[in-house]
Amino acid sequence: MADQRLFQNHAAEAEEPLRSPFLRGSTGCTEKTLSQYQGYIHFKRLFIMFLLVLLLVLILTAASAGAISIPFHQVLSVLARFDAAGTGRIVWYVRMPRIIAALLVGSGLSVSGTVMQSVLRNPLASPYTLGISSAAAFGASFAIVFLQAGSSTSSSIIISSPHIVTLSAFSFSVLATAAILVITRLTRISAETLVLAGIAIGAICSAGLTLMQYLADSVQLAHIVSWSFGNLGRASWQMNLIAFSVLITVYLLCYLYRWDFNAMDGGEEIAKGLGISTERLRITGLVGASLISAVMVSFFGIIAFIGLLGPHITRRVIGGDHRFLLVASPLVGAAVLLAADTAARLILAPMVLPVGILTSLLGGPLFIYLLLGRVRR
Amino acid sequence: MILSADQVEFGYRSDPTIEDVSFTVNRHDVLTILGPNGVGKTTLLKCINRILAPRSGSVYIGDTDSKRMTPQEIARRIGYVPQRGEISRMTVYDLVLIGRRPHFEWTAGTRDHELTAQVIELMGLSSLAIRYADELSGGEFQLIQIARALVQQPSVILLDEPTSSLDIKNQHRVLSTIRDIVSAHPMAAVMTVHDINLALRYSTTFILLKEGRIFAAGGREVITSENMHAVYAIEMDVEEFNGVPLVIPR
Repeated sequence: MADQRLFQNHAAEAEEPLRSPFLRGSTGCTEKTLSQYQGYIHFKRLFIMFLLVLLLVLILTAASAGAISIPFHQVLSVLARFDAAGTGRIVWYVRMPRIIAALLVGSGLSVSGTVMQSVLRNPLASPYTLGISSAAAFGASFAIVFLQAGSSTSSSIIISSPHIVTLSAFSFSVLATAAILVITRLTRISAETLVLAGIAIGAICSAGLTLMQYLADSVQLAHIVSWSFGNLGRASWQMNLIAFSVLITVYLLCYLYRWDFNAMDGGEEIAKGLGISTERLRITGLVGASLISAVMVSFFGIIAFIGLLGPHITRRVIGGDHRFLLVASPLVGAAVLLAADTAARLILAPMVLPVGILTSLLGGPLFIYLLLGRVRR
Repeated sequence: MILSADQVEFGYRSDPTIEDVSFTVNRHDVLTILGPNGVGKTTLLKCINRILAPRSGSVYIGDTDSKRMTPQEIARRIGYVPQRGEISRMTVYDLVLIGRRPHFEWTAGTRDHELTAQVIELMGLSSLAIRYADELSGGEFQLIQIARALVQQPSVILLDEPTSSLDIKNQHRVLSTIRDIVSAHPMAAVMTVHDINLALRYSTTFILLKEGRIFAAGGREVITSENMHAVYAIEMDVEEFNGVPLVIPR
């Protein structure tokens, strides 16, 4: 390599070799540091492998458990053969769409939360705590009531134009995001105050949601009410495909920015000092995060706290390096939501609980714990 | 000369916070900007690496006007240690590695990792390399911040109050580290320090700011009783102690 020196001399004068009082007599240390770091990276990779195995087990469990219990080996053979007859029908058309939806929503909200927490420099940020989920729910209900996006058949309630519902949900969540952005830019508010602002935005959206309910006819009302608590039972392959396309696009974009998120974690000035356009990063991140949450909310309703649970559990285990956090936190979010949803189906079977209740039971205490941690500091 | 400012002016509102600031920094200089609170010391530092774009005037990095450089190019030449770094759950190694961000497009390469490990060693942080920063002391955290700026391979490192939250031992540890590194490498440091006596001990040159303008600049000879009084508006004696001037408020 042409330049083996630590500090380049940018003027064209003679350069001094890397020699400092600190370096004398110690050369083995850098190798040791590098190999220690390799070991640490290896641990993170192992954790990600563990999550993949865990997800596989959860998927199989979720596919086999239910009103009709299907043994593991049968689930596997039905899945492997694309067999959609008999028990295969249950697996492919009833359980798998729901499982995939749980994976998509769990990972999507987790990515959303991870990105928001980084760009807003706020560990309490998530689509739910900042009111963006509520805004999306209001947007969805607005589309159902005024844009004729929902309709019903004799047996079930369906969304006749998911695109319009999603678009409307997205528009309102972008509005909420813009409000959050303006609030953070105009004032130097603390993490806690921003969450209060999020609660205010959520309250405004809830009022709007109630108004929509008041104006809705009975079919529309049924649509809207089913949004109020998150429910993965609506999942279809078509919805999953749309959700997946949005998620993967935004995700890849965020992954490109992983180093910049790392820099942002040191504070905005450090990121700027490293030549990063923090404004662009913040806006891109927030718009991407709200796009994901809008799609998830408009399809499956408000599912609280996954955007906090995923990132925070992951950070505790493997730290905040976004190169790995962005890979592991969606897996954790997916695992948590799939486990919660499976539990919600089984606890009071044959009654199916809305999964949002369970995630709130898990996430609420975490949220309080995070708040307490900040107070202590 | 590796850095110079030419009539730099900047204001947050209509009236300027700093104006008509010109100076040059040479290799191995440790330049300390002195002045009372709110005089524009931090503003001046931020103008040097264009975190704040000067309203008029120019900052030259080497021979190049920083106006004509991209933020990334500036970041390859100037390292910046702000007063308050946020503590996140990242390992020391990862925090330092971020300093390589201006040097790569997609991801860190072998060379980036080598330099990171070297700077960690240089700063005496090897034993902490894979510890999480939120488990470390304030002094250690400040050294990490400086390491992150050093791994940028800058010709100038800017430090905003690097000792403000440290105990006396760590104050000296941090400043002597900066002095030693700057004297051993072809680079310079520009910093703000509130404690004049600390600054006198570790700096080679000084700028005294008064009301946003340079009141005096130069070596230790500018630290006189009269200048101190003019800038800080309190009476101070300047005595010599072990060859280093000592400023004592009356």
